[in-house]
Amino acid sequence: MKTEKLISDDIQENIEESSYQENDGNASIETENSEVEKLKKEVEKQKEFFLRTAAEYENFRKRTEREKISIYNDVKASTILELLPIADSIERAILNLGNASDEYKKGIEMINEQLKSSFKKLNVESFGKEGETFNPDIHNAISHVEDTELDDNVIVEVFQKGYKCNEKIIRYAMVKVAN
Amino acid sequence: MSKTIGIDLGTTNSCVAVIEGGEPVVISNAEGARTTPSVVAFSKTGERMVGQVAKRQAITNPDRTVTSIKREMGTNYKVSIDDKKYSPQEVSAMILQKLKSDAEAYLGTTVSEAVITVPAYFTDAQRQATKDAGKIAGLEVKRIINEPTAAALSYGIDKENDQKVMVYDLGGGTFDVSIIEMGDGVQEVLATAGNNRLGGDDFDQRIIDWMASSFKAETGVDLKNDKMAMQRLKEAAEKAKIELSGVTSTAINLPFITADATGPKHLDLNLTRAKFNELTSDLVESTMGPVRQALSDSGLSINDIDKVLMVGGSSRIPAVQEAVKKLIGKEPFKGINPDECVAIGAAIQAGVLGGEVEGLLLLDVTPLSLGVETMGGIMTKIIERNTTIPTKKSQVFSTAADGQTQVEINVLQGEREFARDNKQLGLFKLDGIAPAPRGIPQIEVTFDIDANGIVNVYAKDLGTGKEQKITITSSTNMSKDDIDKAVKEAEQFAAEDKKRREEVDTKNEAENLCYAVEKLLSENSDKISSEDKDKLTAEVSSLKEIINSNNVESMKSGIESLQKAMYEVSAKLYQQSAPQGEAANASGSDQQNDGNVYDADYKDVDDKK
Repeated sequence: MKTEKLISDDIQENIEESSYQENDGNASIETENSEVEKLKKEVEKQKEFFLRTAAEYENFRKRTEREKISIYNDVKASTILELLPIADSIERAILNLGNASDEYKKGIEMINEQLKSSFKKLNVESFGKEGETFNPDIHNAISHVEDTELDDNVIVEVFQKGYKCNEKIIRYAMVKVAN
Repeated sequence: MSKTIGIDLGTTNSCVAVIEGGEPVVISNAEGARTTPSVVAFSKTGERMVGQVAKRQAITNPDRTVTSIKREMGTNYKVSIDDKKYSPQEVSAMILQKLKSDAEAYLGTTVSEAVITVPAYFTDAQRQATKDAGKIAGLEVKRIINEPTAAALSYGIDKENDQKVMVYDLGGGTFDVSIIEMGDGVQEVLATAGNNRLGGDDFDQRIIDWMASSFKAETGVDLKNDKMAMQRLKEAAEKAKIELSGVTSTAINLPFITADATGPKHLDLNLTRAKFNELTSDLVESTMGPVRQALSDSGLSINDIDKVLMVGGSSRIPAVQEAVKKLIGKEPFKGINPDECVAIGAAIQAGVLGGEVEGLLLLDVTPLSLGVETMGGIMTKIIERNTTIPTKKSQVFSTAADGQTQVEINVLQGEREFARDNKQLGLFKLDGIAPAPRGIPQIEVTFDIDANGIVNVYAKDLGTGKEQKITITSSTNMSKDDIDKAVKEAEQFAAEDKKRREEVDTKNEAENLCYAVEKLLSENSDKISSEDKDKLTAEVSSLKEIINSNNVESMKSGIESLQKAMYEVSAKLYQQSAPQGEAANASGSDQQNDGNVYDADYKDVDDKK
């Protein structure tokens, strides 16, 4: 019996001890859990931040690539745009040659041909003709006229030719539109 | 991962911006322009057009084109197009939708949130209408902010002390002046005034009228009935106005503007800034009334205004800036594109709300270059200034003397060419290098800067694998003034440093050459004639003397003459060895490696005086 009691005491003690340990364990597990939660949240936050930045970088990279390709055409277009008033003026000069000598007229016309062939080499084309249907994607209407003899939305006069290069509009054709 | 965009929904033009990498960026539309006309139109077939394309067809289709819808926001006004009626919110939503899709195309992601700006005088109903427009366009409007507040945000004024700011906004077709109070958490509109029918177009018209009347006085021809001529005048007027913001006089050149019985006529005029100011002085003056009005409404005196911000394209006109400066007595703030600063401010607000501005500002840059000292006291930069951190970079160096067993790594910060003119951050030694001829050992130096600006410098002997490192924590704690001073000094001494650098480079080159020749002599003493030996030895000792003189020009000619002599001798050596075949070639390969392979060599620690 004595032995038995001793044993049971021991057991009791053991039980008590282990239950204390459990209590201690619960407390430290709780703090650990909250620490884990905190760290999990922190990791989530950092992951989110990283993904955002990585995505932004990826989009930036793609866009920069696109921009690099388009930059050549953009620069070309803006350079040609600055030269277009000269092309316009030469054409106006040809219309106004009046009673100049034939040789002189020919000279001016040759200058115009020179310019046209340079534009052609650069892939620059002019557009916009009377009688075409007005299209705001390529034409800029600055004047309007009502005329029952004319069709709807038809270009009656081209004030300034449009120019494009590889389908990119350099300058919209400036036109007068009927009805 | 959706982004919040900032939108300046204007009366004549709109603009959209976003925070990217911590910085505001204005988004170009699909047509490549940074602002989009606030114009909506429907074609006869019912197709919707927004922006530049709608503007280009406006005159042919006035009944189906809507402009300046912003003026109707918050009213019960309805736009009737064909059988349909549209509220101002719905029309504004069409503009917002275009801006949204342009932003999406740019960012490569969907956009569902926005900050939109409105004039400071907008009523609650007008603000609500703007918010509704956003909702119709598929945008959750995180906040509506005042245009002057957005302008102030673009200039970073919210980060400064509490202050009173006047925002002068002269746009394409409207003029607004606001006085706001801004500072630590405070954002209050104290007063607003303006004229909603005044803008850049009025300035253009004055130039057009002047050109037409000057032309009439000169030629007797009235251009006003010639549509095409008037269009050319209009374009020329806008161009001249813009040019006069930068130069004091501009030539207006319109050949063949018209023709009469006597032949073609040209318009050839010169417009000075003084004349332009005279033509538009009443327009400028008419903006001063609202400025005074706003001041008196706010109950402030001129002296209470801390800053003046200029917004809107026409605020670039020098006479406008002068008038504001004269009235307020302060130089107006410029610098941010006045057409874009409202959208930029909206984007900054959007970034703050999305937690982006804060998050990304962590990315810092190295304020000054970092490097090590190499032969001749030269600062060899490894990480250039303004590199975004964290970053890591390595470079391989070698020894400067035969049998050198240790190198000294002098870690430097600064922009000057020479080690002694830069700041020393740390110094350490790497020893235990296996003795070898100079230029043979490979020592890799690595700079590793973490996100907190802490610099780790490693030196590794690639031959033995032996490594040493130093950690420097103080590289970034320099004041802005110190940094500016360092950069300025580098610019100031650039020419002088360059000259000194050339001296050292030449000296290094000369020393390397002497070394190579001496080695050639000792390794091939049995193959070189005594005559050649004497010649080379004499050349070497004379070059060594020149080196001590520090004269760059004579060093250069000394190098040239020694090189020539050396090439002659080595040519003879090859002629001798060629008949002996492959074995000789193999043994000779060693010598070919003796050249100066590395662009920078460490000076010998033991040689230090």
